[in-house]
Amino acid sequence: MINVPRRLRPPAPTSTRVAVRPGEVIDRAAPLAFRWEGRPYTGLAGDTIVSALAASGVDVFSRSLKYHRPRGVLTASFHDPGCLVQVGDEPNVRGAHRSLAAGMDVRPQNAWPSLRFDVKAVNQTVGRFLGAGFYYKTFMKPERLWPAYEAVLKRFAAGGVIPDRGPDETYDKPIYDKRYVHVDVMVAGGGPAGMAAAIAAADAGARVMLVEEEPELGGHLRYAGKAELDLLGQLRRSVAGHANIEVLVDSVVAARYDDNWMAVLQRSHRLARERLIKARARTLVVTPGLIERPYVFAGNDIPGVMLSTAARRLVNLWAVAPGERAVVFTANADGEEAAAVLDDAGVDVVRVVDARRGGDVVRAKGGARLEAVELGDGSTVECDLLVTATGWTAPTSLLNMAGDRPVYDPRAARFVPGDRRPATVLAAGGLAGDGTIDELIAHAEAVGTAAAGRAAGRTPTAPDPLPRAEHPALFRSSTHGLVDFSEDVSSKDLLAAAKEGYESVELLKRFTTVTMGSAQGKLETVNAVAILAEATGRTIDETGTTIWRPPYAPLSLGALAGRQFEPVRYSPMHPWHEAHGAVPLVAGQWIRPDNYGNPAEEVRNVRRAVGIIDVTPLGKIDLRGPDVPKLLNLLYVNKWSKLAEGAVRYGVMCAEDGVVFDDGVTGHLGPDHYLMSTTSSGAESVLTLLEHILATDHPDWRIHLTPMTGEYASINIAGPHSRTLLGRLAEDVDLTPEAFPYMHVRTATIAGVPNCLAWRLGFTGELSFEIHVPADRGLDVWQALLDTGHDLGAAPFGVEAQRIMRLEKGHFIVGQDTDGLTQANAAGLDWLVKLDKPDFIGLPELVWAKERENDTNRDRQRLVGLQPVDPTLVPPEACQLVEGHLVDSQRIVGRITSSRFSPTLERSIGLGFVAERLSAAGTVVAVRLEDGTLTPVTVMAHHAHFDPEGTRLRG
Amino acid sequence: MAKVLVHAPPTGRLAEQLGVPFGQSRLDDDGTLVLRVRPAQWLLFAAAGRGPELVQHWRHAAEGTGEFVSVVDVTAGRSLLRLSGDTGPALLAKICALDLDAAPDGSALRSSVAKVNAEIVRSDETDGRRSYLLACDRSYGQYLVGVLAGAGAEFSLATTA
Repeated sequence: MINVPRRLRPPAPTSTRVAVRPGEVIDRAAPLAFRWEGRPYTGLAGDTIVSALAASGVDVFSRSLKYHRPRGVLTASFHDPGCLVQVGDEPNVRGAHRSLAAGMDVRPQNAWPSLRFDVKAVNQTVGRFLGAGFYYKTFMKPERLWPAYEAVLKRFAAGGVIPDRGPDETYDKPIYDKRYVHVDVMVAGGGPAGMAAAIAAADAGARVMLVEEEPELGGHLRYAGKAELDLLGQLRRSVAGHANIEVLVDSVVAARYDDNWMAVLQRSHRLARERLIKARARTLVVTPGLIERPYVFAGNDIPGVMLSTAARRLVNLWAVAPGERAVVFTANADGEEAAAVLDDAGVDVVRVVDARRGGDVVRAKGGARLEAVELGDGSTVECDLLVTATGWTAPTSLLNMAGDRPVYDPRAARFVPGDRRPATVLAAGGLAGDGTIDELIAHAEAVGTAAAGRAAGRTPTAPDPLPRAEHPALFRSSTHGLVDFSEDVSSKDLLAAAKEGYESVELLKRFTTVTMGSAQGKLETVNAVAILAEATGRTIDETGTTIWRPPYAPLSLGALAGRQFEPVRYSPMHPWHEAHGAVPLVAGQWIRPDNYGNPAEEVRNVRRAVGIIDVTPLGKIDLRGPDVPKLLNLLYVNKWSKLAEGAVRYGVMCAEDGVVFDDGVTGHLGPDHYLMSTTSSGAESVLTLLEHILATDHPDWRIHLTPMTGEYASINIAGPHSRTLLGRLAEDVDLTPEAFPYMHVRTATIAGVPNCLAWRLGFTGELSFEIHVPADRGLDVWQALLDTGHDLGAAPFGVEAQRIMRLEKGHFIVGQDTDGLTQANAAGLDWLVKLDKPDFIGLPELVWAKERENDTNRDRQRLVGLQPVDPTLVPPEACQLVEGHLVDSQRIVGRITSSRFSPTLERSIGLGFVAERLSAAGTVVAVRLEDGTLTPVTVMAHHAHFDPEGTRLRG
Repeated sequence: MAKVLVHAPPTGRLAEQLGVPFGQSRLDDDGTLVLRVRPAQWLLFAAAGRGPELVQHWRHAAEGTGEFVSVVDVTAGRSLLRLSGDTGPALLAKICALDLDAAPDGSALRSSVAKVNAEIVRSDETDGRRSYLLACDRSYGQYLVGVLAGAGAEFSLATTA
């Protein structure tokens, strides 16, 4: 039975700092003021948040996830599950890892209204009903009540809080950065083995990156004795003196993927809160050391119960006495070392209980702080500190990500690396085996040398494996206690789950959530497996273990998002648009002028006089070679073999499924020379498709492609006076209708700029010329057109006016008036699709669609022109069309795809899809508006609402 | 600067005349920088105004080879930036995934730079200082300058005309 604390003591008022320790990392001359629970505290430079608080007598830092039990120091490291705190706006900060900074506002998590009095601690008293699987079993039914359950359960959700700032964009957002790295050798872990391996690899000529999770290199040497500190100094100096080694501290290799592609998280970069490094290394050396694991017994989570490494870290790094009266329970030399360190720091070590001699700890007693320990011999010892040293976990994560599977070594009582990893992934240090520090360093040097050799393409022999020392198999006492401190999963929970049939370690994990908390199994995996083995009567080896997957350590969403690259494209005329008050429109990557203040007037000006629009974003691809007609015939649904020089043809491209993919015009500029234009948004896709065809399907075709979108500034001159306007600036070209008819292209000198192209096209439905000008002269020509055409009424128009006019003319836009299911015939393109062509992309599907035309069971849709009966009503785009307009029919028969008020016709117009049986001219269907009301619309005879014969554009 | 793109067979006679292996560049005595960024494509950078001359020259050179060759003047369509300084690789490592330390002087590469297709040419200064030319579609030029300025803040990047 877990001991439930009833009352919590206030923080001790006095400092627990001890005399100077030889390896301490604090600066006693640099006090840092910060706040904890709203009250002022003082720490020292070099402190972590938790060491500073512990030095001030604080021993409870959070409440546990489920039972809201008070939690103190367990590991005094990044993985400490009881030390997650809120720092300002940042939730879930690892308080035992994060360096203290002046002015920090630190608050506890999982506690309300305060850490000392947490009403949710009621969960402790009803804990017997909250066993593993409680949520699964209790809140599954009835399903309709889930919203109510959810609202209540949300209040019990663990973790910190991200402030809801609403629309406030003024606050100082943290910066997250990215970086790519290529090295010969990546060393993951900057302890003695990692440093030795890095030095050896660099000595062999390799470029090395050495990544250490702590703020300094050194691993366990940092909190060891004088001799080890001397060795640490030597190793650090060697690393620092090596130009080939880049050191990242406060960083972690979070993931390893194929071919040693790795994610490295660099924390506390001077310019960014976090930086995600995408690294490629020829070889990876994994040197994370070993992680001490807790012992399972009643009360093992009471503040004051901690690991031997935690006690040594607190004393030797931050000069903090973790208690006044200590009991040390040990099964190894590290426990003995912890007892010696505590004694040296003035802590009264009242009892050392040696597991190797049959000693045991049965129960810890206390509330918010340990008060006594009940031992296996039946005695009870009063104390406020219990240090346990009962074994190790080998963090094989990165090796697992390389395909390795851990195996259990009963002699060493821990899982160890298997032998299934690639030759480019090596291990050293405690992960690889045991030995004296000299032996471990010698082995690591050999591994580093081998890593450098393998990075250079050689195949040096791997060093002999390290032996593993014998260690007692200590997992659980005769009582039950917590196994997973992050998730509040006890050994009782695991035994109960096993009884329910969760005998697979993978299922046990998912059912109880053991190993799924913030420590991610680093502290609890071995104990969980051992207890499952105990429950099922199997050996630990037979039980097996869960496999660590990426990431090794948590990454923030900010780090994953990182520096955002969102390319933006501007035309050469963009500065003019900005200077003349254009309303910007984000169109894919392009920033375009939506309008210059009055799009309706811009339309009227084009219809009565002349306007110019910047159409630079139109995709443009230069095609050269004798086989270009073959390519065009394959791409487009219509025929291209007989396109004369100087002529232009409209074409539509389909995907293999016959769905409209892109459209545009292609002009025959000269012998074996064509220029294709695509939609603005389709330019990249079309170019990719063309390159794919030529690289894979038809490498024999003699065609060269050159993307030219940026090469030309493109301007469409539209309106009755467009010929007159262009004529004033164009040389070397005859613009008369006879010499330059509709759908033709000519080269010209325009406004003194040679090598321009002029096309006669009509997207707006007006007489118009589209000119392509070398981009560096685009702005000059734009300005010249406006200056020269002043008396003609020349004025700019934006994308909105163009969209209105194309809708008046009934031209569809791929992606707006078509979707991912719109085949060419449904878009009204039967007139264009030539099913008698030998081949084109999408032909078989379109033939099949044609064959099914008379299948009355299919409710085919067809794009049609639409006009609301009420000419003032402009239905929003995407509104449903329903059958009949007098009754509220539930039968959806189509939708509006484009809808505008036409300044030319002074009425609303649209395009939309409607069931083919309702597509006859004059049919009336209804639009269901956003408020649910119906309004009738009439199906028109043509897509074009204006000048359906095309008289104006052919003028 | 003038920019001319030459498409030619990767192993033909014109390739021999152009004379640059794939992935590398060469600075000619007349100041023309020839880079081969694709196996069958050469990009030529030369002094402003030399575009038509270069087009003419290489079209003439292609005649008689019997090879399928295209020469396209792309002077107006490419933005060209130079990034100089020893921290150039570190700056580019924030926006480009290539291993630039493995690319010696003269390397001509093509990759995504801040999600924009770009040519990257290592073209060190005469004093040995690291220098890279970046070329991209003209419309991305302003964006790329902004990205470089942002990524270069930690390296005290200075911009010159």
